[in-house]
Amino acid sequence: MARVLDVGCDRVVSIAEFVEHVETQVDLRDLDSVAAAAPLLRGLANDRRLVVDRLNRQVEHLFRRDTVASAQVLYLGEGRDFYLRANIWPSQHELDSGRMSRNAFAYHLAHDHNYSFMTVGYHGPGYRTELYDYDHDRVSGYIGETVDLRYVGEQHFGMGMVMLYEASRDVHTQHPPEALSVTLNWMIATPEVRLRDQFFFDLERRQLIDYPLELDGSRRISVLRMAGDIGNPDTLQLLHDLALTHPCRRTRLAACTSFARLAPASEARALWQRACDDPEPMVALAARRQLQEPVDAVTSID
Amino acid sequence: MPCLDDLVERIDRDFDREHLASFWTLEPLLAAFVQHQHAAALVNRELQQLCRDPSYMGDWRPNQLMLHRGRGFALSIWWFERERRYLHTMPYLGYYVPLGRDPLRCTRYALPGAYDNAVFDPGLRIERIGRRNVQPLQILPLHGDRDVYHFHVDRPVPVLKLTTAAFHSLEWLFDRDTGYAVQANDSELSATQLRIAAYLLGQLGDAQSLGPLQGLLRHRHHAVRWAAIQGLGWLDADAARAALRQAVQDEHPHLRRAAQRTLDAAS
Repeated sequence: MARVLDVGCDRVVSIAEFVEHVETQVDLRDLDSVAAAAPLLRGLANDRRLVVDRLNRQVEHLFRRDTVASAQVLYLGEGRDFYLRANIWPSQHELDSGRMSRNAFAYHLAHDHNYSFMTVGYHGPGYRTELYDYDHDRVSGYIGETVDLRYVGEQHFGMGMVMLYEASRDVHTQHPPEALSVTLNWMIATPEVRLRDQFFFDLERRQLIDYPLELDGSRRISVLRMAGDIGNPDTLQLLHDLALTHPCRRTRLAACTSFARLAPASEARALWQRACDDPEPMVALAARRQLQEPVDAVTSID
Repeated sequence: MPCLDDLVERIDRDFDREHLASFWTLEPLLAAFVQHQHAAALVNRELQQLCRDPSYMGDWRPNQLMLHRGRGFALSIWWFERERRYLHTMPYLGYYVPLGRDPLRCTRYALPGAYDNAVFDPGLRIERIGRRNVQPLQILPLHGDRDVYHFHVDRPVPVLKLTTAAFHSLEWLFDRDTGYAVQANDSELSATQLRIAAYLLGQLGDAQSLGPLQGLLRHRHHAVRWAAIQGLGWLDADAARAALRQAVQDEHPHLRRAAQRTLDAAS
């Protein structure tokens, strides 16, 4: 379950010190090693000028130098395979009054993350979060799939508190804080993160209900779908290779589907037959379904 | 037969950002580009990268493959997957080209004569002009300054988009049934970022934010100017009052009214 880390730090840690420490002392694939760096993140939150100075600078530059594609996230820095950002959490009143956009927030929507991250309360009363966990290895990953979500408690994530969420294990639902709040988040972005799924869940039905559109995997699949419609003969071999070798199951399935849209029916059928042996049930079951239908009826991969 | 680099170079040469009408001269260039299947080659280039490195991520957004972000224009391929809930104005001029096997079906609406993009008015209504089927590889010019388009999506369609940078500050949304305006959003992310930053700086209450917030009082988007005044209100009452007194002369009627109301309430 998500760890609440009881750590203190009585000094201010700079971004540069934090980055240097993580790059030299932390194994980003070992959660205990990540957890051991919690006092440094807590020390970063001791810098009471960090967010205001960064915001002042971004405002002066009219956010022209900003690379974050969201208005409620402030980029703070990065190192090898990780980055730091400040997240802004509006209250319900701020959402209702239109000061902040409702669409940008996944409040009240249970989700996991495909990356591990550590977060510290920086400003304001903080949001309330309900916590669950699940076994990612037992999830095939199709929409509507029943998932065994285990309720593990609730936290009021207040100022100075530090929490560590494990990728593809911890699930949470956040509820808006009483007043505007800010957290500092240390996001782990090792290359394998781009190959992992992230899910939205329906807690009542205990079901997987969607993938975020912004997810790396979802964006990759958009490109594969385009290829299935606008590809040329050169595209076929590329799709064929991806269908058989890409490590992401949704990507393999999308490649099969796009291949089937472009290829002669006999070749499409041959690929679906190979996909029936895919180790992931999501791909194998879809392939079996396709073989029971005319190949050109393929329209959707989810 | 212009490839992407040639196309970009020629757009850079022929498109005068100071004279938006010059955008309409680019159609023959774009026509030559799409006729030669360059889009397929560019998608293949992404797939090749992906075969070499499974974790490769190109300049991909949700349902969008960005081909080039140039000075004052952008070229991308979009995957039109579902219809939009509202009819949206486009803050740019554009050319759309369906690239797949299916046509791009759209309905065109005319913006009313009284339409002023910067001044949202829920009393305004768009008028339907007619429908059009744009065949694969045909070019649809989009006059975002005078028309609104609704794209019908029975099945997903890949669309090549060549667009200018946004020249309007707002993107209006109209109700599909009644045609009336229901909402306006910032057309550029930076405007939303600035509004939220102004609010947050006000809440954080640090005196060093005074200068940056005062700088926003000259921003071209009225909603950013108003957010800056509000931010100042939390930070420094005198500076906010001065900004409000200035804002009663603002070029934007909503801002003038809001400033006057606030001053009246304060007195």
